[in-house]
Amino acid sequence: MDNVLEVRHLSRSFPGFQLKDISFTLPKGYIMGLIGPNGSGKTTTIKLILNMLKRDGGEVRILGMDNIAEEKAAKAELAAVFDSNYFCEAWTAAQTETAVSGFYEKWDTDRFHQLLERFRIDPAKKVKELSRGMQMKLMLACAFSYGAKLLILDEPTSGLDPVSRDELLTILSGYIEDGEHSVLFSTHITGDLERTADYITYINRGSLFFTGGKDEFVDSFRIVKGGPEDLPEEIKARLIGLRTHPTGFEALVRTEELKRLRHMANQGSVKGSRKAEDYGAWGSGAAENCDVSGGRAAENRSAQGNGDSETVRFPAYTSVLKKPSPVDGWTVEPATIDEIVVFTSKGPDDNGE
Amino acid sequence: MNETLKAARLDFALLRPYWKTLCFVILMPVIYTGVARSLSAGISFEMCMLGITASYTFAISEKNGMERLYGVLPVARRHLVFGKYLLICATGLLALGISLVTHTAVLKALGETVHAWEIAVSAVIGFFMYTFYVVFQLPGYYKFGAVGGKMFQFIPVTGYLLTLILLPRVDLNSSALAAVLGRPGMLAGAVLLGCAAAYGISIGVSVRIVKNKEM
Repeated sequence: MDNVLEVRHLSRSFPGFQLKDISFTLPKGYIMGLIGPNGSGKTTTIKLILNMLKRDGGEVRILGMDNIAEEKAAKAELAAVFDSNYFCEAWTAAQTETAVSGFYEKWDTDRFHQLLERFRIDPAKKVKELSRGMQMKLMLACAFSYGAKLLILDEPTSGLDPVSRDELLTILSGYIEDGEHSVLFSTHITGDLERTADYITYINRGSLFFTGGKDEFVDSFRIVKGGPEDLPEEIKARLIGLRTHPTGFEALVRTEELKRLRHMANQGSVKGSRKAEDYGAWGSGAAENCDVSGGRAAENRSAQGNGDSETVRFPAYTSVLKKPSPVDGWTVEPATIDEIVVFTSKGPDDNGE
Repeated sequence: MNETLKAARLDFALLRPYWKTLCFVILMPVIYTGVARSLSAGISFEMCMLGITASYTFAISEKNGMERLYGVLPVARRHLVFGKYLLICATGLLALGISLVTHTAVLKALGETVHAWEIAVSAVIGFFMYTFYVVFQLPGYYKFGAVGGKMFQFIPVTGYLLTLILLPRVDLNSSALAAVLGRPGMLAGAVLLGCAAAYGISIGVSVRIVKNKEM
C-alpha cells in the first residue's frame, strides 16, 4: 500500500514542551485524524511536516519525497488549510487566484471557478466579507485547483457552526473518493473524526499515544462504570483515566486490561473495601462468562453500527458466587474517541471533582 | 515563470488594494517641492516617504497571518526574499521616475528653471537615499516583523532629518567636492555600485534571517 505521508521519529524541543519520537504513516486514499488535547503537539507536528519549524530529529516523507531536501516538489503536491484564513483580507476571491496560481504548474483556472460556484463563493467578494466557513472553502478551492494529493488541515472545524462543519466533512469525504487523495486532519472536535476518519494518530503531551485504524483505536478501550465501593486501590492504579463522583466512578481501561482485571479478581488478588474471602468462591465458570470485554463487546458494537447504546454487564455470577467481587458491579461500555481523549489527557490521578 | 518574479507578483498583489495610499505617498511630496522650490529637496522628501512604505508588505502579511501561506507555497524561502527586494526596488525606481517628471513640471509651472543636471543629480541622490533607507529596514522587518520592527520605520525620517541638518554644513566651495562633482559620470557610477553592494549585503542578511526563521 502506498503511503502518502510517512513521519518517523519526529522530535522537537521547546522550552517547557517536547515533541518526542512521533511516528505514523498515512496510506493513499484515506483520512487520518490527528487528535489530542490543546497543547499536545498537533500543530507542532503539522508545522514540522510543512518545514515551517525546524526539527531536532526524525524524518518526514511526503509522497516519498523528503520534506526538506525536496521541499518545493513536495509542497507542489500538498495543500494546507489552517483554522483561520491565510489570504490577504483585502483580496477578492478572484484576486486570490491571481496571487497564488503562479506558484502551481498544475493550477486549473476553470476548476477553481467551478469550485467557487459549487461552494457558492462570489469571485468579486472580498475575503474579509466571507464568513469563516466560506473562507475555509476558499482555501479548499485553491487546494483542489492544483490537484493536491495530500490535504493537511489544522483544526479546520474549530469555530465553524454545525452546518459548515458538516459541509466541510462532506467535502473531505468527496475529496478522497477516487482513492488518489489523502487527508491529515488535526482536530480536538473528535465527533468529526467518528464520521470521517479511517485512521487515528493520537498525540498526548508531546508523545505518540496511538496510531492505527480508527476502529482498532476505539475497540482498544472501554469505559467502566461502577458504584463508590466498586473500585479497589489495586485496580485504580491500572486505570488509564478515572473520574469519580459521589454515586460512583467512570474509568477508561484498555480492553485487554479488562481481561487481566478479571483474572486478578478470579485469583482473589483484588482486595478492596470488601474482604478477601468474598472473592475466593469465584470459580472458572464465572471467569468464562466474564469474557465480555473483548470479543463480545466488539461484536455487539459492530452489529449495532455505532455501538453507542451497547452496554455489557459483567457475568451472572449469582449462581456461582456467594458474594460479588467489586468488578461484578461494573458496567462496561465501548468508549468514544472523545472519552478516550478526555480520560487519557487527565490521567489516572485526576478525578475531576 | 521565475520564482523570484512569482514572489514579487505575490507581494504586488498585497500592495494592489492599497494603490490609492501609494499614489498619495508618491504625489503628496509635490507640495513640498512647490513650497521649497527645489527639485532635490522634494525628491529627498519623496524618497523618505516612499522608504517608509517598505514596511507595507510586511505589515499586510503580518496582519493577515500570511506567514502560514508562505510556509505552504512551493517556493524556496530565498526566492520570497529576492521577490520582495525586486518589488521594493522596482517600486522605488518607478516612483522616482514619476516624481522627477511631476516635480519638474510643478517647478516649471511655478516659473522655476530646472536644468538637466539638476534632474540627474536629484535622480542619483534620490536613488541613493531610497537604497539607504530600504537596505537597513528590510532585514529588520524580516527579523522582528512589521510590528516588532516598527522602530526601523524611523530610518527614513532620521535619514531625511540628517540630510536637512548636515547638507547646509557642506562647504560647497571645497576642492574635494568640486573634484567629485567635476566627474558626474564617475559619481553616478560609484553611487550605483555602492547601492548594488548595499542591496547585495542586505539581501544576504535577509535570506539568512528568513532561512533560520520559524513560522
